[in-house]
Amino acid sequence: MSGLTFTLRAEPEERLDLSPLVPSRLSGSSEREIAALPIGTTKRGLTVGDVFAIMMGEADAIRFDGGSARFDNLGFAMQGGEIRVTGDVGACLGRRMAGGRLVVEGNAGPFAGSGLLGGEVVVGGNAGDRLAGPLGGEMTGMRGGFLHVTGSAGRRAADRMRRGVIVVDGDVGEDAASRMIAGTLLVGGRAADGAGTLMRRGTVIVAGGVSELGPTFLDNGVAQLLALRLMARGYPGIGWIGERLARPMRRFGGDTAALGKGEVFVPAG
Amino acid sequence: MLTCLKGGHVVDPVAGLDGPADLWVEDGRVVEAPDGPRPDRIIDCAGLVVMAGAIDIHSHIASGHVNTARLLLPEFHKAFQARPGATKLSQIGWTAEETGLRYAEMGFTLVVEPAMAPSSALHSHLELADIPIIDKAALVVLGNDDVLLSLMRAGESPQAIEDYVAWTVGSARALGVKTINAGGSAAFKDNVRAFSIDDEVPDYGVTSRAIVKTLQSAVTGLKIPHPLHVHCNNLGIAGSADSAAATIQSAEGLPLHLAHLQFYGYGAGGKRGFSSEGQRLAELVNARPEITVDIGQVMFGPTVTISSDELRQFAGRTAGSPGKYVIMDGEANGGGVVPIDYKETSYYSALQWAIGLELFLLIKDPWRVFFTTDHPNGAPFTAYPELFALLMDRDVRARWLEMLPDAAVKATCLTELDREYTLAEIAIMTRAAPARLLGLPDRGHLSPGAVADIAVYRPGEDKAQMFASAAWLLKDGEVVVENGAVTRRRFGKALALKAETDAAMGRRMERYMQDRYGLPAHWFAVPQDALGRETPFGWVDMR
Amino acid sequence: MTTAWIDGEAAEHAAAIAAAAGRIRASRHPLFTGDYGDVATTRALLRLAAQAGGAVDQQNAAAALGWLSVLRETGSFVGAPAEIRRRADMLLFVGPNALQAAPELADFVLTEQPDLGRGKGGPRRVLWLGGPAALPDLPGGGRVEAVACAPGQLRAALSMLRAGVSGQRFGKGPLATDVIHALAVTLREARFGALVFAACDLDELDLEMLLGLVADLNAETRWTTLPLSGDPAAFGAAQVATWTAGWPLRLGFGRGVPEHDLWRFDGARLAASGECDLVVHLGSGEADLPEAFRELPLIAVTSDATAWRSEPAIRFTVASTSAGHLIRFNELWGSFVAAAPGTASDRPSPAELLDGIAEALDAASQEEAA
Repeated sequence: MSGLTFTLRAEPEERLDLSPLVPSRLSGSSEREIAALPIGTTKRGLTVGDVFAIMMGEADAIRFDGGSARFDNLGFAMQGGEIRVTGDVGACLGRRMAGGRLVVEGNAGPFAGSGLLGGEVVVGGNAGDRLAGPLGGEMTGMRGGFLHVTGSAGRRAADRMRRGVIVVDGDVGEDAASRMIAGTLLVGGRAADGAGTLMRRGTVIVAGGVSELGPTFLDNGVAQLLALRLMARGYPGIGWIGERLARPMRRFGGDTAALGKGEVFVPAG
Repeated sequence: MLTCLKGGHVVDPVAGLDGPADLWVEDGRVVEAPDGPRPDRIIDCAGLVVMAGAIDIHSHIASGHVNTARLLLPEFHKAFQARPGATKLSQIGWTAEETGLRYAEMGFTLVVEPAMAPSSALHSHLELADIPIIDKAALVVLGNDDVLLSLMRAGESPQAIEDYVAWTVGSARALGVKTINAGGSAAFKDNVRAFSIDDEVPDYGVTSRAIVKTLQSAVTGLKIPHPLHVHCNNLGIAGSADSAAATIQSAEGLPLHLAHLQFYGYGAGGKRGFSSEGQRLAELVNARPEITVDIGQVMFGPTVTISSDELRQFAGRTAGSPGKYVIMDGEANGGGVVPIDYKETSYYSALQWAIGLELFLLIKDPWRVFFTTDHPNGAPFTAYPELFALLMDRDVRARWLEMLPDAAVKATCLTELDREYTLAEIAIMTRAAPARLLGLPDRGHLSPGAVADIAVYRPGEDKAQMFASAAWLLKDGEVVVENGAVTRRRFGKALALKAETDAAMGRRMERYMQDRYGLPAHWFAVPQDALGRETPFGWVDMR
Repeated sequence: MTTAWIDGEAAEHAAAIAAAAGRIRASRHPLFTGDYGDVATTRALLRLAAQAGGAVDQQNAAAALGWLSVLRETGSFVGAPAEIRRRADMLLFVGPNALQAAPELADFVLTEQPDLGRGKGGPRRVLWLGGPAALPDLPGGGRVEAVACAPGQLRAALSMLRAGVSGQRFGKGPLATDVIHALAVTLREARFGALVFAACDLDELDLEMLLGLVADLNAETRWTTLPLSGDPAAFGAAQVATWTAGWPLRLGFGRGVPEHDLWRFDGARLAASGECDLVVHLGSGEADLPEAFRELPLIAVTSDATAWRSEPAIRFTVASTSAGHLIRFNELWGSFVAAAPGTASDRPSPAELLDGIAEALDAASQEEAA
């Protein structure tokens, strides 16, 4: 039996809160029960059945046929299984997800992977601002798992990240790894200004270089990153890691305006 | 409309009632059983316990600092995105509206905000006006303000100081006066980092003791019913029992109320340098009839401390959890907001919890000890039912003790205390005594003439369940809660003293504020028409 | 006197109220926004929005919300202007617009010499990091010591300063190393210092850097901050929203309970994305209406009765003065202040108008339920 499929009937007029549509919540539910779940965010009280055609199947492999930038909270607190979206999603993709695999073939909105705890999130297109970041007032961003953006990411990717690995194949916007607590951010392209601002610990590796690091990052010289080559083996699907990071990299330590035990690697010379 | 609450078990220690009785209510008051007329409504209270509405004398429910705490901790509120790990604060929603609803559901009819800064009295009253159902009141804070300290430095007459206190109480529409680490916030702005009762505030040359005594005299002289409400020096630090003891001794026969005594029940003994002084403080309170105290009980879980004790909040800022805080350098007191997580597994939190209960059980006179958690500092007010169960049932205490670290259990005498509060004692502590302490002769009891604020509970083995959810609540004679749910929304009043203010003091304040601060003194005032309610205030007589 | 227009035609007030309630009822996701901030209006607007299941924003909310976002992510020291005026023996202005954001407030703080505490008797030192090229004269005399820094380099300069104050190393940046070291010594010598800045003009990380600097300085001496929000009305509205709903703006009531989301309920975004289908806007007149809302069905509540070139679906005029006390947040006072009563008006106040619509909405819902 194939997976449970939600086919989008038409572009929704309002933002949708898709947090109930995760394997653990849908497992054992009938089509009628699923169709009645509220996912609207306005007073109209839209339900799943209003928005999607449902094709029943295994709940641990959910598929969204057609996406929308209005799909919020997709994969919220997901514990296991797989969700795949053949299109875009909105804000807070995979927020607080703890396990399983979440694949979006299109673009993701702001706060993709917000507070990720575990599992794997893949964004085929670009991700918006605050990739993996905390919501207002929260003290930690991503705390575990693996987040891979094939395109580029917006401002403040990996904000307050504490653990886990983020790979962005393209570029990252301003202030990447801001307030990073620990963990690893790998960028295939370039990082805009402000990378690492107020980072305490953690590792940022930018294969395409950074436009400028602040004065509270200190040049620690050139290093051959053996650890990176080892890491590359762990992600065989991401070819550029092995290729681009085999070259010598220059290590900058910072941000000494904060604790100063973080590191940013950029290509040497 | 004539209402009869029929056949309940009425617990009214003021009238000496602890047994079956009918209660009659008309036009918002308790009335004598009428001869002729039949009631328009009968509420069957058979098998239920009937008490006056409960009164909370110390709960931070409405102020600029409370709002700052809300701003600082969006993640504590329910519905801030769906998120796991609900906190006690998330259960109460933490808005003005939910404050009124949750208190009413537990059978409360009056709650006092204990820390209204004179300069943000209007803010406090705006929030109070939005709290539904219950009546409320606020204590105005003095003792770190340049005006008072300058008057003292200049050796001005007690009359001048009384005029200033009366002017402040009148402007702020307060029900009483509080002082918070008297002089400590002012000293902290001069970079003083430890401050005790006989330390002088730099520049003013007055001691904390002198400030407390000066305010105590003024409050007594003005015939303000509620005694000066004192938050002592050195809150929360090991050895703070000395500060409380010194303050108790400083009362010298005149009434004095000490707030959240639990936070001063600490010695510096034991290998962790943190020990219980609960017994010592309880004995001191027992020996001094002029002293009343509330406890500030700690219950476990994440919460937030909100205090106008700026020095204390600064000192505790890095121990907070989550690790963020706001410290406010106000004119006068200022304050701070520091989140905290009292963990059952922590020796310190567990001992704090135990010390609070030691005080409750060792202070003999239920007329002089009050049940607060210093909401939200020790725990949110929604923890009261659990607290009452702990006081009323030693088996409940034993169950809690089993969960706590051995070291903390060894450090408390709680295991030896088998006192259980009776219903009558609970009624004293939560109704009769607070009404008397605040100077409200028509509340806290159910004799004819009393305000018909009446809470009816369904008794049971589980005391927490009983007090969590009133079977009925009448506010001013009107049914507002049935079976633990609010059935009728209405707005109560803010109780304020009929303070007579001296016109000369008003002019003097206007000059002083313009001259020193470049600000108009009338900005301290809370105009009646500003609060968006038809009758925002209920007036309370001086003694 | 006409106080209401439907499609530009003068209408009976009650008919226009009913029409507005009808429009709001028919709307999927109405947005309530505009230039408001007094307590009565904010209360009424929140009540109406909650009833209507709408979103709530304020025209200048961004100014206040940036600061509040940083506050809740990192905490802060904050000082009352009155205390800073009397006690601060050192002021450090940061950023080119530190004075312009609230000129009255800057005057207020600077006019007198300190007369409280250790810094009593002055003189007060005033430094300005990254000020405008031509520094203004200070009210009450006194000289500003300029620490030159290009606007785009402020964060870098603050980060060096923060590292310098806490004895951490730092590299080359917009300020010379010895300038940083000297400045760090100066700041540590303040008895009660205050950092003054236009919170509305600085990036969130700039603000966080600056608050971190103040927290570090407090390890040894006393420093506080004076953030200028740029719009006290928006700040006041955010305060009212906080005790009403639990959060500052922006809010949404679409699901019957308040929800808070700076991004989702951003009025400009809601309009641009087509997610909202009706705007209820409070303002002074047509010129006040942001471009973003011109293409949407509009209920305009204005204090100016001048006809619009492009008339909204429904337009009300409301009183611009109040016979009772009007409560607003006041930055000098650092809290709410009751403005002296003005002259009575024949027109309803904004709060009365919004309450009227809410009552009509309520009546219509009850009718439907019956």
